Amino acid sequence: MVLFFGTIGMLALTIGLIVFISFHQRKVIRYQQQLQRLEQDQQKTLLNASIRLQEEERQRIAADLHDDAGPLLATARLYLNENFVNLDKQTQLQSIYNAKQIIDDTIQLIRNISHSLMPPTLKNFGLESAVNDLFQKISGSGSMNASSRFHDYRERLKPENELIIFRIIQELINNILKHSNASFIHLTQNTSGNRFFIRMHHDGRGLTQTDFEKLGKSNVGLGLKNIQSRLKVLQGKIFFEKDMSQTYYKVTIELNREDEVKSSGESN
Amino acid sequence: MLEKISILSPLLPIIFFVLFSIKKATKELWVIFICTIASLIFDIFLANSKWAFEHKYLVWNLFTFLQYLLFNFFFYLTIKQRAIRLGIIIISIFYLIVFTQTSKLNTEQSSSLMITIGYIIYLILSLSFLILALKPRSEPTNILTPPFLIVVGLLISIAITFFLFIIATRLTKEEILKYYSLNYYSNIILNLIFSLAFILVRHQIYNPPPESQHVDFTNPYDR
Repeated sequence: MVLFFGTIGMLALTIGLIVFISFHQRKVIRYQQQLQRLEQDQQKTLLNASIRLQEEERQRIAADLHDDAGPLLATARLYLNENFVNLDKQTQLQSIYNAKQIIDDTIQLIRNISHSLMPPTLKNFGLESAVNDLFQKISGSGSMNASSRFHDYRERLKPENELIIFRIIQELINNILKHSNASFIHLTQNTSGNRFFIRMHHDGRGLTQTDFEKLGKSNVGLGLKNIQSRLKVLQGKIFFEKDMSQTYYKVTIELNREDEVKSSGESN
Repeated sequence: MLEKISILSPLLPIIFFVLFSIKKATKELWVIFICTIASLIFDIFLANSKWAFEHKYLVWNLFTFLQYLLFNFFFYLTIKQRAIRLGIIIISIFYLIVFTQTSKLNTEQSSSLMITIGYIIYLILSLSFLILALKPRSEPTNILTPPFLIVVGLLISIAITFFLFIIATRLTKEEILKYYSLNYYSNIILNLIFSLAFILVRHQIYNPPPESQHVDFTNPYDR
């Protein structure tokens, strides 16, 4: 009797345990797959946003070249052609002078396009100078009071990462200028151990982390998705919050310098 | 008839191992393969040798000890946790001491004791294996692996014979003969599940788990 019930009991317990584990594992796998799918969808959205932005940028450059540089060069060509037709020395000199003027304008135009692609200050002097330069320009326009201060930037980030951070700052400033109606923006940089921080605050209308996450998942907010995808490359984080005093909006970009080295290693 | 099937049942996993998993088998599976060969040799030896029949408890003890070492080595290779591995080594030393003390007796009690201690240890290790298999991982992991099937086989086999060996000393010879078929069933089921585990090796080779997806953020036109 003991043997019969003992064996049946043990067998039932064992089979029950195995069935429970199998079902539980299936449930866990389903849940993990669902999570993976969600992450993939999010990555796809970011990828699409990044591609759209790249294409928009290309279209803008193409339009600049086609609409501005193209006609200027065509006009210069016309002036130079005139030299073949008109043999009067005075007129020739005048047309060469005009052509030179137009070519100078074209050079300036191409330089501007090139600078918008890669700011020379950033390339030559680093993030600190480029950000200070950008903020001075904003302040100089008179539309807003803008200031920036780098507290601990003796060791520069990798150039490609400086460019990514600069683009993120540009995107954030664009948003603040466009939507916030702020009267000032202030940017500070500092480090804590291996962590690198950029903090911006302004007194206009801003975003909270919930708004940012919501916009990141929706089809709108292309610029914010672009920020997300750029930060993903750097393995960085961004936080949007309202200041303790509820007066200012604060944006914090956080990078781990070890990750920065790793991510640049991967990109190489 | 049932006894003969039970004695020859290790042939099935041996054949499946040779056919399906000899090239791709991991160390753990090789250990189980050796265990099935040992089981086959011991059972044939016990059934055919007069000396072995006269010293059957000693032969049983010897086989139980060898089987115990092999299964423990299987768990040692399968469970990567350092603490459990250390536990396996300590318990094996303890088991060796029990073996040296009881093997001299050549009695039914000694054999029953060896098997019962061994079963309790297998139960603890099998449960540790299953608990570790349930641990959440970053990647979805299929639990149906050859080692999982081997542990399932072992658990079912223990469940069938656990009470038989515990109360074996209190049973009469007639009762033992009556209920000993449980041991044959357990052996057959164990070898069938081992065969499934060896077949699964081949199945897993042809169906590798999917690799995790990584999205490249560069524009596809620039790649």
